[in-house]
Amino acid sequence: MVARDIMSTEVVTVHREDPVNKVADLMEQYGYGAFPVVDQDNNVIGIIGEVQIIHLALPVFAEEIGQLAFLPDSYRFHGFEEEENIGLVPVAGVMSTDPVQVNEDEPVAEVARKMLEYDISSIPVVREGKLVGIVSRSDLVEAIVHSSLRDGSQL
Amino acid sequence: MTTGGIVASIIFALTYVLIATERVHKTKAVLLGGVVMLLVRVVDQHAAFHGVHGQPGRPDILGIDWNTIFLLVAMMTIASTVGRTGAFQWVAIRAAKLAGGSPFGIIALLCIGTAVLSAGLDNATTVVLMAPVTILICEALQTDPVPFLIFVVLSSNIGGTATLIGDPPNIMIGSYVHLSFVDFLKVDAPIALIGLVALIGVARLFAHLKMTVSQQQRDRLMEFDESRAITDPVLLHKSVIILILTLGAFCIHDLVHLEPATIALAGAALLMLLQKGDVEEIFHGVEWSTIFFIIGLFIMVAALVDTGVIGLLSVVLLNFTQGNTLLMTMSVLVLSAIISGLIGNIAYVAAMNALLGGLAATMHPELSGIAVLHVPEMMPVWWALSIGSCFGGNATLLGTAANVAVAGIAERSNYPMTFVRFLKYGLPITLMSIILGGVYLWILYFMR
Repeated sequence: MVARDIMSTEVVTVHREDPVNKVADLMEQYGYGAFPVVDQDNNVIGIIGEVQIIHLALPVFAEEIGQLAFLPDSYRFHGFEEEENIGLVPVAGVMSTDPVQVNEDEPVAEVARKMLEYDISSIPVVREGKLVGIVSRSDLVEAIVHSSLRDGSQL
Repeated sequence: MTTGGIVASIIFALTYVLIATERVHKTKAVLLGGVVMLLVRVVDQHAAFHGVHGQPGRPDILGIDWNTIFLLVAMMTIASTVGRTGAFQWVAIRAAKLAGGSPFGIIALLCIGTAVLSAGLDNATTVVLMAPVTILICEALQTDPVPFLIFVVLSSNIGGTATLIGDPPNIMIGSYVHLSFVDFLKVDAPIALIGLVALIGVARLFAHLKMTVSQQQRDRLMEFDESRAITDPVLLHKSVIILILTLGAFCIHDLVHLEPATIALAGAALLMLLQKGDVEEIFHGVEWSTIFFIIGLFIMVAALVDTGVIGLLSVVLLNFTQGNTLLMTMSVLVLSAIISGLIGNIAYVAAMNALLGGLAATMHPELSGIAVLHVPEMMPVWWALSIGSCFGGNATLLGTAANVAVAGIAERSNYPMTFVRFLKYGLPITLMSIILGGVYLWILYFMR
């Protein structure tokens, strides 16, 4: 069994020039935590998820401090202070440019391993760099517990 | 010069050019240089790794100085443990609040806090933890953090000058020349204090010219609660006690005949025992690239000594200075500042220790061992090397590992600290502190 067998082919994607607030709207609409970023030729060029947007709000130096418990309640961190502007930041400036992805013929076991190793909720599936589907955690769970799998075929 | 000498000199020169141009990471460059020296056998592995002492017909070779290596590793372990408790953040916020939010006050107190911490703990660790909080404080005040960061790192290098363990060049000099912790406190600590006061004086001029902060911004800063910065009070107490014990033991290491590295390792081992953290995680705080950089340098310098290059250069140096101690002291002071700024003070001191050791041996062929290094006319020269290279590390962005580390944090935080911007502060301040150092050494050793 390979990634192709369990992936969903209807993938919600975003483009590098889309604003971050559009991504947030899509998250709310579909309930997904991350979306692949593709170019005109459907090549996966990045991924944008909740983590990347939170990083945007929390500046690098704040992450490097180690802890921020000393900040007062009233402290407004980046995102909240410039709420209107931050929503307009293009995806290109926020996305992870080195996304975890798998080839369509990759064994499902490897897809599962990557999902656990990188602690991500979904993995884009590509054929020669072009997006053909996406495997989410629920796709994997379904594959694992699906009865047809129990007899004979292995992950 | 022998063929081996020529080969060793060429490898050495190429490696240092590589360091200065930054085309390859300096640790890669010196490890390559050192390994090539071993491969072409301009120095044998035993001499490079273990040194050569008192063999007739062969110069004394230091080799890899394990006292330096273990002292650094142990102190980095202690510093990174202290770092994980939130103590550095506490100091930074406390300093800013004590200053009541005035920009000059903040710079002055941050400089004092950083200098004191840097005297007892590794500089790079100190500034890497002080820098992000400094940026946060500046953002609360809506002021440009880059000058603050530059003053923090300058004060770290000046504070590190004060003690044997404060700055890697001092560790290397102290270990090579067998100068004690107390020797450094007597000679280097006063000039470090003078340098710090002068630095704060410059900050006064600067802050007076460029900065104003509104009451609202000050209020925002005063709301920071530094007591909540301490994430692990138990570990903090343990590490402060062990740090004080370690520093106290350093003060008497000469009396109890223990090498500084033994004391530092004892402190580090005890602190490791007293904390829950995983060993791998604790060792993560050690700057291994600096450690291997120094190891590579030791191997290369061993080759230069073994092939007689250092001996030859010592004669040249002696002819130039005619054994005039004042001339030697002042030229070493100035040369140290210039070259440390160009290639970094660690790379400079690794070579310079051997060169000055060779010079002393040339002047006093009748003596051997530590006695050669401790002849009275060499003492001001060693201190000139220490003061010159530590202060000289402030001249450019490349002068010390601490400078490079802070520049990295600034860059990632979108406040680029460019080479030129650093130079505008670093160069004049280095010039000032070197002049002060020269006057200081003159008063100490040459005034009649």
